[in-house]
Amino acid sequence: MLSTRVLPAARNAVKTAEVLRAAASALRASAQLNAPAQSRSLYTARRPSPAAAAALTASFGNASRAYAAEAGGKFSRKKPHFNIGTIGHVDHGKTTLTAAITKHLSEQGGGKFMDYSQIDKAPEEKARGITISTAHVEYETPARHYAHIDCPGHADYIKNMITGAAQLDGAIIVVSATDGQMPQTREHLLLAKQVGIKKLLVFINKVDQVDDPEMLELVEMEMRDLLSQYGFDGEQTPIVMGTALAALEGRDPERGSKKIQELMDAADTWLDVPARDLDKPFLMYVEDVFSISGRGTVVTGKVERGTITKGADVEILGLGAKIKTTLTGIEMFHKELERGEAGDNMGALLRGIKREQVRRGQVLVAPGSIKSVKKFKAQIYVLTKDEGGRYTPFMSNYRPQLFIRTTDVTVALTFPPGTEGADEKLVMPGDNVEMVGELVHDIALEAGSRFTLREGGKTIGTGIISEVYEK
Amino acid sequence: MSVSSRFLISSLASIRPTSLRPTNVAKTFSTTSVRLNNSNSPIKVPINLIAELRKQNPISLSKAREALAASHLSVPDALEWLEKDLEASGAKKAAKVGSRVTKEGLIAVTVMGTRAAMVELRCETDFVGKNEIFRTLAENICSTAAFLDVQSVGGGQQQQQHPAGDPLALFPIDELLQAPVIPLDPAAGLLSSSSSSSSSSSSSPSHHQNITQAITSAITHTGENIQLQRAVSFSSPIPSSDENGGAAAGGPTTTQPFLLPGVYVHGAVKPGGNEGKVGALIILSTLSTDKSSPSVMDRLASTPSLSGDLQKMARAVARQVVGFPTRGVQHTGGQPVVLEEGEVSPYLMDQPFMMYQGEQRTVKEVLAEWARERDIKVDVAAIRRWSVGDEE
Repeated sequence: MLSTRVLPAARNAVKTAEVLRAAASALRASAQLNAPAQSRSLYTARRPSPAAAAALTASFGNASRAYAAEAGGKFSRKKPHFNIGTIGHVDHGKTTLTAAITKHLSEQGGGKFMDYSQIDKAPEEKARGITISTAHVEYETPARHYAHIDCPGHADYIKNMITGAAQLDGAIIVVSATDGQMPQTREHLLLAKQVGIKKLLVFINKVDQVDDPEMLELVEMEMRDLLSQYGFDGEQTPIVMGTALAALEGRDPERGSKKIQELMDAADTWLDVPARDLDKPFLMYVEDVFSISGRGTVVTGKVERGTITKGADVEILGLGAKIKTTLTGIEMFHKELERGEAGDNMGALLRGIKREQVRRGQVLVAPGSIKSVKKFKAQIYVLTKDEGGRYTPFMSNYRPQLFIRTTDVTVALTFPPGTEGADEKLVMPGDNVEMVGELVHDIALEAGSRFTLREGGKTIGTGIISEVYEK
Repeated sequence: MSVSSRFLISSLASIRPTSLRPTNVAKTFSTTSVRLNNSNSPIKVPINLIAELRKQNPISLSKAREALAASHLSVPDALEWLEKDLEASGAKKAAKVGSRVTKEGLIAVTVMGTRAAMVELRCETDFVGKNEIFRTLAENICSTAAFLDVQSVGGGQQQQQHPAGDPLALFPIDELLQAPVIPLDPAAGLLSSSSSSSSSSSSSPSHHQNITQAITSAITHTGENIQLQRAVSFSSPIPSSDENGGAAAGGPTTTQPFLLPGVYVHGAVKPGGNEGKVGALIILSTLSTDKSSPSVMDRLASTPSLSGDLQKMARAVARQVVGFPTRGVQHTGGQPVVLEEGEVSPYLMDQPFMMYQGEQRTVKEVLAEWARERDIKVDVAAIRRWSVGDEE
């Protein structure tokens, strides 16, 4: 299930941009015909950067992405979309909470009620020999549309984060009041950190089974301590205490449905919607360069994010270049435009630039918004042989081709400095691994950039950049 | 030596909490004197004591309260109460979760000179699999298996009889479960029991714990089903296991091959650790081809570098077995191996020996040349390659 999602995304990235566009629009079109859940997963699959989550600028009025069959009407983009997850111990009631949320919100017209058995498909799928690695549920509050993601394990979340199959923007940590936090709660918080979540919610479940209010205080106190210990805002993080089962069974509204409402209110206000592509700084990747007599040099390519207006300053970046210039004209479909935006395929007329100065593989960006670097740290998922990847492991200093946007560059991969036993460490197909990459020449990269690794004509891995190093 | 130091730990452990007692009692009085009106538990348990107890034993909140209520609000007594309670309620908890599927976990490997072991310990999620409590448990079970290798459990000199056969024997799980926990490094246990970190203090085995009890304890802490799936152990039949062969005065049969284990684990959850997702335990069998010195033990004594070289080779072979999906040492008859393009033989001897300095030649060739240069003959006597969740 996952691999089918991963592979198209990974493979597309390495084809020419034309093919990529064709494939992507085909995927989008087909997605619109399918269930809303699927179209959403494709949407999330191509949304970049968890790291930009903090930079929230919410002006959702002008959402006009070039998605063809929007009028088909199944999935409205009027509300901002948010991917939320539940993380917690197996017995602490994650699924019950999820069911309770869908029930409560469906009663207010926000999505469809999913009961426990519909959410927790895993046992039945397991019986059929299928490993289900992600459960998708959706619901809506008046303010937002939520996709609810629940993965069984750490490795599944990491893989989904790297491949972009199911990116978490925020999460609810579920803790039972009877047990309190458990040793593995530390691992839950580490995971949240690792997938780039900045803010969490805590739901203390099963409060009806604890008679002493001081015990609940202790659970809360311990959770706040632990959150702070792992770099989250322990003081401010909303902690909601209730019973998901009561909400699901429609009894005890004080500790049931009201608490679910409280939790979702906290989600709406505390968890920040990641910046949308349109709100990010302008970046267009160069596909082709033309010299048009009487006009000058025109660069064509796709706007990955942001908007640009005629007359704006831009920077040509990558492959050794860092040239400032002005964008004197925007053209699309042989018509002049005042403004280009994310998703557009446009031609950009550049002032005072010779054709030889711009090459495919470079980017046109808002000045200073991104750096061109050679060295970076990334989380990499190495495809298994069943996913079309390598048969054999590799070691430090492995040198595949890194494909990103319209270019590919040889990269040397090593373990981060200080890794114990790095000289004999292996990376095996199926591994999630953090590595440092050094490119033979510089390209525009930043935290959150996704790339694909290929070797000998096959895709062997995919990665997401966590840090760039300037020199 | 290990016995005496473990005794030391236990005596220290019993001293330490006692010294804490006065302050605890003081806290107790300050918070409890007011209200004694709780209907469910006869004594109101102050939450700071619960927090304190959970720092030393990460038990569930309700259990922590129960323990303190039953021990007159004394943390040391509550710790003792919990240990006793483990027998009854721990077993109940273990039975409750016992039927749940365990697909995650760790493969742990240990090598101590010429002894070695590998075990698979399973749990339900990789969150627990990465947790320090679980990792320490796997480490301790593995060192126990290495220490008590299966042949010596069976007793006698039978290992001398079949040097040609597979020297690796599965450790009967039932026997291992009854064995006392023998940590790899008793000093580590001492350190962790004196720190207040919740994860490590609980994982230091208490003096009289056997493996079953240690597992039950981890089940009550993590709330997940934990199963000891399988174990294999090895001890070199040659009496002296000293690296430089100095103690080989007993005069072992010189024609006996010298067996040396090698281990490797991939995806270690702790940096540099020996507990990960895929593990291998291999045995190198070495004979001297130097006519003037036919005993490998003598050769090890006279050529100091040989021992280190052998260990490096054992490690490289173990890495090779982990890195490549290896089914056997060599292809023995039967159907020819059909490989897809880019695929590597599942038989060790036919694989390119990538894990030995990035070699392109086969393991067989490299090993033969390497041995010839050192006037020895080296065979891979046995391999085991386990990954977490393997279907057997």
